[in-house]
Formats: sequence, C-alpha cells, structure tokens
Amino acid sequence: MRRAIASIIVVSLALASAPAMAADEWKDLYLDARDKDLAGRNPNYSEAVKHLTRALAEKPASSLGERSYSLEFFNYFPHYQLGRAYMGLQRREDAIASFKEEERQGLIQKIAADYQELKRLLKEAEDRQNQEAVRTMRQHLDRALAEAADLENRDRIDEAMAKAQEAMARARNLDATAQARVTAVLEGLRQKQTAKDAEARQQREREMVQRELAEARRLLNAGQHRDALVKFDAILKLDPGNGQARDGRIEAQDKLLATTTRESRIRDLEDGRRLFEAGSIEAAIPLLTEAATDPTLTEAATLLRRAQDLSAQRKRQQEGDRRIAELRREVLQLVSANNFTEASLRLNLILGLIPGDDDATKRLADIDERMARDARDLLLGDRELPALAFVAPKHASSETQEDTITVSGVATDDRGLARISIRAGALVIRTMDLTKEQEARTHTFDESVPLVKGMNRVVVSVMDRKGRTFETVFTVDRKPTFIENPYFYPLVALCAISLVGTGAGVYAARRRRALRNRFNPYIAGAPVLSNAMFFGRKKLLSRVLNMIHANSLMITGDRRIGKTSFMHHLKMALADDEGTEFKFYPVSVDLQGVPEHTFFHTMMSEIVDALGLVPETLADLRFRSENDDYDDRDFSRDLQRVITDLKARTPKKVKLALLLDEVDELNEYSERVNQRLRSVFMKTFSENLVAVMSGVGIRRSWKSEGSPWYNFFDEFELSGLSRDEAEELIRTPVQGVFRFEDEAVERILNASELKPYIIQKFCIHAVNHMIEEGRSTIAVRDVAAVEALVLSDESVAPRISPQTRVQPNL
Amino acid sequence: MRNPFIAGSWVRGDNFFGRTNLLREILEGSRDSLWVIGARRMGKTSLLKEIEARTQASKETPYLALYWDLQGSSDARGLADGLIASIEDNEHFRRAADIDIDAIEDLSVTDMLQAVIRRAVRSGWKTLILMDEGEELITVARNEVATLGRLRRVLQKGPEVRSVITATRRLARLDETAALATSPFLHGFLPPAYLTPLEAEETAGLLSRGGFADTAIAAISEKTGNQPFLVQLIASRLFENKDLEGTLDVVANDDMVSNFFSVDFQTLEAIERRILEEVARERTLSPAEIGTALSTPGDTLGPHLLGLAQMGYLKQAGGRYSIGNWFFETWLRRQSLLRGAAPDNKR
Repeated sequence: MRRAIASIIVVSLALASAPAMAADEWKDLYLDARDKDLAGRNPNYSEAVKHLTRALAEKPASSLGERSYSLEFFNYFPHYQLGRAYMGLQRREDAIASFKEEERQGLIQKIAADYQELKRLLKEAEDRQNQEAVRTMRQHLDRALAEAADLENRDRIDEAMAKAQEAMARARNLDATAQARVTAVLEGLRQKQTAKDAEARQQREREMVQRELAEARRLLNAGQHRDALVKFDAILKLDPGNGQARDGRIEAQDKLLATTTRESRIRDLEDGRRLFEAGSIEAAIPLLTEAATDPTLTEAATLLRRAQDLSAQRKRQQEGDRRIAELRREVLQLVSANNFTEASLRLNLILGLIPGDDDATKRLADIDERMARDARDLLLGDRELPALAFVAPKHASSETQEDTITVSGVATDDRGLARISIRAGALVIRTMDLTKEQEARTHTFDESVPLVKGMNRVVVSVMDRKGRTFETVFTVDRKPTFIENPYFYPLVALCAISLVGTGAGVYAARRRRALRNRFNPYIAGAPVLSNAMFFGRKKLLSRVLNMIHANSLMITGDRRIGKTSFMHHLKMALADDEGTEFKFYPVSVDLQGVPEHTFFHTMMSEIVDALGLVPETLADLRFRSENDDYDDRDFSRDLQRVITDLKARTPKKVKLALLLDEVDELNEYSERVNQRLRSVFMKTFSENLVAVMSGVGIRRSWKSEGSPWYNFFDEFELSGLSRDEAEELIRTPVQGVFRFEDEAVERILNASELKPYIIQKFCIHAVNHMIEEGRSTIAVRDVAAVEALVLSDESVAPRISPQTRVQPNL
Repeated sequence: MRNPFIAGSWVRGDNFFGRTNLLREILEGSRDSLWVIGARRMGKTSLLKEIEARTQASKETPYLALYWDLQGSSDARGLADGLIASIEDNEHFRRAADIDIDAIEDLSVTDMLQAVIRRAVRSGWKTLILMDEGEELITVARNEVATLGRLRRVLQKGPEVRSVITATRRLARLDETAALATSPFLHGFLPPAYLTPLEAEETAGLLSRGGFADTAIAAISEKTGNQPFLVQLIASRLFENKDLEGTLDVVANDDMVSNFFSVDFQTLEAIERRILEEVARERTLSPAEIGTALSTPGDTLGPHLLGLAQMGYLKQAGGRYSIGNWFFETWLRRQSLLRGAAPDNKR
C-alpha cells in the first residue's frame, strides 16, 4: 500500500512538472549554443544562431543565477552569445547590434570577465567595420569628385554641384581634410554658378534695354514726354553708356521743358517730395522727373536721384526675391520627395545669391547630415536598436490592487520608428503604426492596461524601420482588494456600528473643546498664507502659471479682494513648478511705503535675501545693504550677475520672477523711475526675467510722448469668488466642528457680493455670535445680527484710486 | 504644454516671425539711415532685438549692433545714461569693440557715441545703432534742440555707422518741434520703411504653435488683419479657454485693447484720423469717395492712404479701402457712437 501511494506521488509530481520543463526549453537551447555550438575547435555558428534565436523568442530578457536541469547555476546572456555567433559568421553589423543590446540589458556589466570579453569583441567588430567603411567611402568620394570635375569641364555646373554634394555626404564621415577638399570644390562651383546667373541676368537686361528703348521712343513720338523721359532715365540707370538713351533723354527733356511752366514744375516738386517722404517712390518719380527738367530746381534733381536709386534697388531686390522664393518652393517639394541631391543643389544656389542665409545653411546642413548618415548606414548598417523609456510603471515588478495599470513613456530611434505595441499576456492592448509618419524618431504613449487577478505580464515592444525590435517586460501582481475579500461585508457592518458610536463621541468632544476655546479659523485683513484657508482662484492660478514663462502680468482688483494672498500662493506654486523646461525663482517685493529713492535698492535687497546667492556673486554686486545710494543702472548690472548665478544652478531655462505687490505705489513715483523700471524689461537679460505686479491699477497716462506701462502687461482682474468657491470658503474651515445652516450661508453669499474679505468678516463675527450663545450651528440669526457691523466697516467698501486703471490719452 | 504665445514682451529667435524684406533692407541694403515706422504693438522692439541677435550670431555681417532704448531719456544726460546702460547690457558689443565703460561713462552722449563708433572701427566693425522708442527725441528736441543736431551729425557720419530709428508716425512731428539751423533731423532717414502687419502665411505659422484648427487660424488671421499683437493676444486667450467666438468677443470689449487703439489712434495726424473715421462709417470707400467725404482732393490723400495701409490701419481690395482689422473697426464705430454720431447716420 505504501509503495502504491509513493508511486502515485511520483507520477503526480512528474505530470505536474512536465509543463514547467516545456516552458523552460530556453535553458537547453541557450546552454547548447554556449557550451556546444560555440565551444571547441570547430564551432557551429549557424546552429548557435538558430538555438539562441529560439531561446530569445521564449525569454528575451537577460538574467543572472539561472539554474539548469543539472542544478548548475548559469548567467543568461543570449544577446552576447548571439553576437559571438554573428562574429563567427562575419555578420559584423548584426554582431555589433547584439553586443549593444546585451549592454543595454544592464546585467552583463556585473560579470567582469564576460563584460570585458564583450567589450573586446564589440571594439574589434566596430574597428573592422569602420576600416572597411572608411576605405569604401574614400573610393566613393574620389569617384564623385572626379565625376564632378568632368561635369564642370563640360560646363554642366548644375550636375557637377549635385555630384560634389554627394561627395560631401561621404566626406562628412571622413576627416577634416576630405571635407575641406569637397568644400573648396563646392565653393568654386558655387562661384561659377553665380557668375553664370549674373551673365544670364545681364543678357536679360540687354534684351530689356532694347525693348524699353523702343517703348521710350514710341512714347516720345506720341507726345508723352514725361513718361518717355522716365523710361530713358531707367535705361540709363541700367546702361549708363547707352547713346540712344542719352540722346532720347535730351530730346524728351527739351520737349517737356517747352510744354510745361515753372509753376507746374514747382507744384510737381512739392507733390513729388510729399510722395517720396511717404515712401511712395514709384509715384514720386514721374513728378520729380518733370520738376528736375528745370535746372533751377536743384532739390528736384537730388530727390529724383535718390528715388531712382531706391527704385532700382527695390526692383533688383524684387527680382532676387522672386528667384529665391521660387528656389525655396522647389527645395520644399524636393525634400518632401526625398530628392536630397536636387534639393541641396537649389540650396547652394540660394547661398550663392544670399551668402550665409540662415534657412538655406540650416537646411543644407540637415540634408548633408542625412545624406552622410545614409552613406554611413549603407556601409556600416544601423547599429542602434530602438529604445524605450518609461514614466510608469516605475519598476519591472510591482504589486497593485487596482484593476488597471498605466503604461506611459517614450519610444525613440535615430532612424525612425515603425511600430509600438503594448500587450498584456496574450491580449494586444494597442498597436501604434508609425510608418506613415515622417521622421517619427520619438513617440510618446500612455495606455491604461487592464489586469487580471494574480500575476500579469505586460510587454511593450518597439520596432524601428529597419525591422529591429526592442521590448520591455513588466510583471504586475494584481492583489485582491479589501472589498473583494469574503470577510469584507461583515467587517464593514461591524466597523460602521463602532465608527458611528465613536464618531459621534469624537464630534461631540471636538465641538465642546471648540466652543470652550472659541475656535474661529477665519482670517479677515491679513493675507491668507495657509493652503487650507485659500479657496478659489485655481483657474486664475493655472492661467497665470501657463503664461508667466513668456509674459509679464498685472493682477488688478479692488482693495481687499485677495491680491496679496493670491501673490503668496503664486509664489509657492512657482517655487514648486518642476514639470517644465523652466525653473522659476520667485521673489516677492511689497512696495507699500517704499520711498522712491530706495526703490531699486529695496528690490535688490529682497532678491538677495530670497535667493541665497553664492559668496562670489554677492561680492561682485554693487548692492550693499547698508548703502541705499543705488540706481537703476546698478540694479540692471546686478540683475545680470544674479541671473548668471541662477543659471549655474540648473540646466533648465531660468526665470527670475519678480512678484511686486502694492504696485500702486509706483503711481506716486516720478515718471523717470517708472521708465527706468520698464527699461529693465527691455534689456537682453530680461529674457530670464518676468514680472507679476498686483495692485488696484497702474497709471497709464504720463506727461511724455510714450507711457512706460503702455500695454506692457497682460492683465487679469481678480474679482469676487464664484458661488461654489464662496460656499466652500464659508463651510470648509469649520467642517467637523461647527455647522452652517443653509439659510445662513445663503445670506452671507448675498450680502457679501462673493468678495472673500467680506465673507471672512461675516464668518468671523457670525461664529463669535454663535459661540456667545453656546450653540454649535451658525444660524441665519447669527448672520443677521452681525450684518450691520460687517458692512459698516469702511475697509469693506471698494476704493479705487482716481489715477489708476486704464486712462487713455484721449 | 505651456501657452506658447507672447502678447506683452519683445521676442526674437524662434519666437520671431516674418519681416524678411525689412531685415534684409536693414542688414544688406544701401541706406545707412532709416526710420522704420510702425504702429503701436506692431513689433518694432522685436524687430530691433532680432537684428541685434542675428548680427551677434552671424559670421558674415560687418555690423556690430547696439540696441538703444530711448524711452525716458528726455535730454542729453538722459540719452547718455540710456546709451551707457545699453552698452552695459550688451556684453557681445563691449567685447567685440573692446569698450571700457569707465572710460566713456562721463562723456556727453555724442562724444560717447563717437568713441564707441571709433572703437568698433578699430576692431574692424561698422556700428549698427538700433534706436527704439524714437518719439522720445521729440521731448529731447523740446528740452535741448542743439543735442539733436549734434546727434544727427554722429548718426549720419558715414559708412562706419548705420542708424535705424523705430517710432510711430508721431516722430514726423520732430522736425516741426526742432527748428535746427542745419538740415532737419529726419532728412537722411527719409523715406521711411514701414513695419506692416504679418503676411497671412506668417500668421498661420505663428498660430500653428497652438495646435488650432485651420478654420480657427483663418478666422484669427481675417479678424486681426494679421496685426501681430492682436494675433498673439487672441491666440494666447484661445489657448487657455478653447472658445474662439467667446475670445473674439471678450477681446473686442477688453479695456486693455480699447486703450491700445485709443493711444495708437492719437499718434496719427488729424487728416488720417478723419480718413479712418470716414472709412469705418461707410465700411468701404474708394480714394475719390474719401476725398469727397473729407472735402479734400483725392490725389492729395494718396500719401496718407498709402501710409495707413502700410501700417495696417487700412486694407485695400479692388481699389477700395476698408479698416485693417475687425477689432479696430469695431472700436472706431463704437467711438463714433459714443460721440453721439451713429456710424449709420451720415453727418
């Protein structure tokens, strides 16, 4: 009997382990490749590739400390072994990619011997690959340059430049000498092309001169002497030695003088001058031409000469512009059709016409780089696999009670992505086809992946346009939630009963304590500094945060509307703002009571106090706390140094945010100080400076020609709260201690016009009134009892400075 | 994504759009003195800042650019203070021209300018002076007319210096204010170049940063007449609230925008203001009809119409003029109503 039981156990164990053995076939495949195919004097590299490829299909991730069936420990480095096999097959490009992938897995670095060997093999592969590539590239370069020279000799400059551009793509991957060689050839060709263009233009001009001469002569014969004279002048501008034009001009001038009066010529001069000064050059020329026939009107001749020069310059420019616009259009078409050789030819022509043109230089550099990369790829292949970086999940293995997990991150590849897919077990969650997107080198993804109870395997894989793939595997253990536990409901019932009892007791005790201590959390008068007591304004805060990186802002609002509280919370939000390319350094400056002569000193004093500058910066400042003889020039100079200090602290774009409160004080300062403050924001370093000012309003109308603050700010008005925000402000601070009757809340809302200061004042007095009467519910009679007191307070009534707000100069 | 639009500050580099011809005229053209006329908020400061940045980045340019904000200068000392502050702000300029601030800061503005130009010439550069807020020269002229004459001589002294002044039309009053014994100050700066509204494609390029629908882009371009400040302002607000109709409505009724139009309007000459009021009243008028309405011969209005169109106050289609953008037209018509003369009732 005992033997029978033992047999059953053995059979059962064998049956149970069979699927596990099948699932672990990768171990055999890997060890066969490593210890048989790649070992010994006659390694079988092809077999090794087969075995390792199958192993990788089952288990793509490298690992340490695996156990074989013979119970020996081994490290699983399939990409490294695959690289060795590819090396044996002389498939160096594949070998390099495999070695790099093993490096990227990040485990082989822990085994020094294997890692050293991997690095040695990788270097060997890359060196040999590079040597071959350089040799081939030099051959291609020589051939392309020889062909370019041949084409140049046959005066086919366009084609020679295209060939030289191909040579440049090769040279970019070689040394500086090779590049200089091609650059010299390209420059020579560019000059030849420019000369050819100039010759063609001169030919066109010669033809045009003939046409214009005929037209001028026709006009002269038709009695249109002025128009004829204008034409003869235009011809002489192009061709000063043209005898026919000179004779025609004299004839037209004589006839014009004979048919006009001095008065009409003086009138023409005045009209012509007016048109000239208004910039209407073409309209001015005929009038000035006629006036200039009178030798006593010397101003006419001077103005005419200037107008003709300008006109000729503009025409030349227009012609050039047309040609350049045409070339730019062609470049765009050619680039979108991937015809880079022709596109670079056009770009070279643009550079011949506008040396140093930024757009053409940049595009040409892009094309050069692209062609160079293609040339390199052709020879070396694509050694880089696509990559994945994750924002979530943060760890390869995790536990959760949620029924979904967010997978978000970014896929990158230097040659372009083809596909990203996200799978959970056998279920495909999403596949993103990126082949239709041009230049998809990066792509972000953010997916919610459903989880089943127990262990989940979530695989994110990315494929580049060369078919290379990379994947990352996450294991997520989905634990049952408390609610899914069978004991949950009975437990809930028990807890509820005990909580109600305890809660009621706690609430009653808290209420008694609050009444005894005259608990009253509302704040009226002082700025609200605590987050817990700051209600509403979220939308405005978010708008300000969204815009402040590039705009100076003005927060206006009646007195006691909450500007200072808002500025305080804006400061905290800016200091905490970490999620963008900017790093804000907020500094608050309260201008109330700051005398004009210490204004810039006060500002720098606050900056120095707030920013904790390094001693070197502090020593370099002109600012000294004890000496307030400090002007705008000192301030600007010191700001530059402060910004330099801040730039050294972060790789992000630095924004020193000056939060100036009670800015109405500036209205009392002289216009000069206002202009000097404004001029700080005109300085180059102001790209690192933003200002948020708050006050009832800033003065816009000043004595001088320009106003310092004319449309300088984007303005936001801080008005009353919304009803919901106001209700939150009333109820939340005393929640769990006292209670407001709905009617009481309604009465405060109506009487306060939703202004936070008045609401707080109502609440303070109403709570006090309730406490006096020993109750814990604020009733409408409490509000009614304090209403007169609250509204009689003169600080409640809004006051607007007469000089402030928008004051047009009408 | 943060709001990519900038409605208040000057811009340069990637945030600068268009102005290709004007940039070329300033950097490559033949004129060494140029007045760039631009309406308020048309991008005058940004144009100068962009020129400064481009010359600093260029290896080919012969110019060493210096941006000089004239606002608040009011007299010779103020001009000198502003100039020295500009030089202090521009490290590239100081280094390239090898300028020692201590050595020049006590000089008069013209001596300082001459010293700076000389230093630049010695270092192999031409100086490109970029003067912003040129209207301040009117105040200088009122206070110290002689300074203006000396300044003109330095600014127009020859090929080693190129001077650009940006200002509104109001600067034309300078020569009336400053009775210089020699040539008028603006003489060499004429004819002016105009800072026009953006081209439609440039507006579309700018708006594409907000990821707006094509229909929204077309609507903004049409309603603003491609006026850069209005484009940026509307785009910035639309980016926040995603409601185009609401944004257009709010901006049309915004105090800040009314203030902008109001101040801008006052920079124009009386005849130009009357032209705009007439065109706003009738929506569209030919030059002859404008002449009749103003009892002025149509051909004498030519320069004014040209200037107003260049500055974006008017636009021309089929030989007829209408107001340059919907917001300005709305403001003009509202002003007319406020004065008790409804636009629909002819005076």
